[in-house]
Amino acid sequence: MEKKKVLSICCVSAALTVLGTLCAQVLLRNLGLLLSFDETFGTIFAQIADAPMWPPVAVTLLLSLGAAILLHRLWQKKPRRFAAALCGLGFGVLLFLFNVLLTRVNGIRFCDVLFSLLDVLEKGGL
Amino acid sequence: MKRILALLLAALLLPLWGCATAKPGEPAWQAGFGCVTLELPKDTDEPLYIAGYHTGWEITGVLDAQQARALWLSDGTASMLLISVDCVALGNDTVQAIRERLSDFCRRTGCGSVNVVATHTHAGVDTLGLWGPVGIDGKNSAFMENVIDGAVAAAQAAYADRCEGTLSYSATETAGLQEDSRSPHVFDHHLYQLHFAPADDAHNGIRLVSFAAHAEALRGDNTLVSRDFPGAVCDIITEKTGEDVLFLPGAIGGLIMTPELKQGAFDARENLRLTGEAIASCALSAEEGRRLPPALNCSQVRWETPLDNTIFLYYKFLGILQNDVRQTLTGTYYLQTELTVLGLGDLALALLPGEIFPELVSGTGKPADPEGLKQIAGRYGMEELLVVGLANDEIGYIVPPSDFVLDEALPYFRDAEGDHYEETNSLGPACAEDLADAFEKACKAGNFGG
Repeated sequence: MEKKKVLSICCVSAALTVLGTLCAQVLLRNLGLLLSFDETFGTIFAQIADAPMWPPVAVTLLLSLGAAILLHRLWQKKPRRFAAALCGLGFGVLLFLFNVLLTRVNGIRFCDVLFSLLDVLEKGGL
Repeated sequence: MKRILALLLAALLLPLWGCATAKPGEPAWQAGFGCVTLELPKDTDEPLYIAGYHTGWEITGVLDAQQARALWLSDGTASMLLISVDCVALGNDTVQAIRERLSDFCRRTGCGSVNVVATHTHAGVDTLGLWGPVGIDGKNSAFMENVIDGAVAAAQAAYADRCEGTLSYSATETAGLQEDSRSPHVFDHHLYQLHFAPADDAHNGIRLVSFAAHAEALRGDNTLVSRDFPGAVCDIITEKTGEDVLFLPGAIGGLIMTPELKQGAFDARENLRLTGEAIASCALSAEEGRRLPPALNCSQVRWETPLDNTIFLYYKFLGILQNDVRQTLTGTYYLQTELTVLGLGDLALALLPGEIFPELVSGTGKPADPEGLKQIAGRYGMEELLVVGLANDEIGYIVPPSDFVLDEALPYFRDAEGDHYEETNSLGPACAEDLADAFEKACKAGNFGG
């Protein structure tokens, strides 16, 4: 039983990590396409489609491990399985957003560029 | 009969005397020159943007083609390459690509240092990526390949051209050939030359000319490719003397440029001609200068400084700027670059990766500013220092911290009130201090001045 428990936690953790990191990169690489409603931004961000990207794999793995342990505990109690599934989905979305913000594109974290751009846009700099 | 034979032998051997300026085993300078034209790519889908002034302006023709010119220099033991490329600037990634392509050559020839300097012409194809439409990489990948190929070919040609000779250094005063658009109006009004005189007639002499002014004689409306005044100066000197010439920019931050010499309505080509002639004339009127003993020394230091400029951050994110960066736990990004100090006899050359304000070279004396580079060099036995900008990288202007002012609302997006344009094209206020520290490290490591 113990082995099954560890295995299931590891699988859930790995799945959350892979989904979180890969999906974040897919979004960032297609950012130009997603922003194509604005020709300028679409063209600018299309330049990162093939850029080297480094997601925060280690931190994502740790977070997903914690999430997997929590989900496993919830899942053990039958009445709470639906809640566990919802939590799993929620964790997945959070991990995905976490990865989008903290993935480094050409060495620079996306969140550093995003928050800076938002600030500049607010002040009418662009 | 014996006397006649002796005289004949002397007549045969005498011309050979000039070839052997040094006895076997004695160090002697060795130099060679190579020059390659950088052709515009014929079949390219990417536009060719003109670099220097406006974003998104495409090239409409060629006035005089860009070139890569190389100097091979050796003291018999240590050797190095100095490659001057007619372009606005080259990032460290392009310089590393050139070095990578020359790695086998360097192993084979014992070349210890490859240095690539941009002449900073504001009439060349964009080689840095900042002059495409806003936010779009303006580099043309085919032209960049031509730049790398050309630099490599020029270097190899310089090595093949090498011969022994003497090296002299001179500094000539100029007047009326520079303007400083920002106070304090400080600039180095000397024209510097290194002159290599070959020991035999089979080779041309070589001149390395350095002058501190932005290569903008054609000014901002020009859309024709040109080497600007560095090219004109090289051509005029070659025409008059038969010697090969390279141009290196000096400390041009601030912003130091040549004035409009064309009177009346502005004529770009006429201004270019007059500027080239005026600067070449100074070079040609220079005295021979003092001999430099054959001793070559090289000290390269990699260093980093905070990437404070938001726009440069965006350009790094987009892959337009390609320097290595690292981020600390507090979130500060540090951009990595390099500088090199070359010792040629008792003369030191500081190859700096940007456009330094001249007052940072001579020293401002203000507590907020770092010690002047000349003072630092003096403490390590280098009484004479020649500063070369845009060498091995382009990190923008290096502004004195005492005069570093940013717009409060939109730093780096807008100039602060007054004369503060250069800040918007600089890495940040810490750059000057970090550069001075790196320079001191290079001086310490290089064992200059004996």
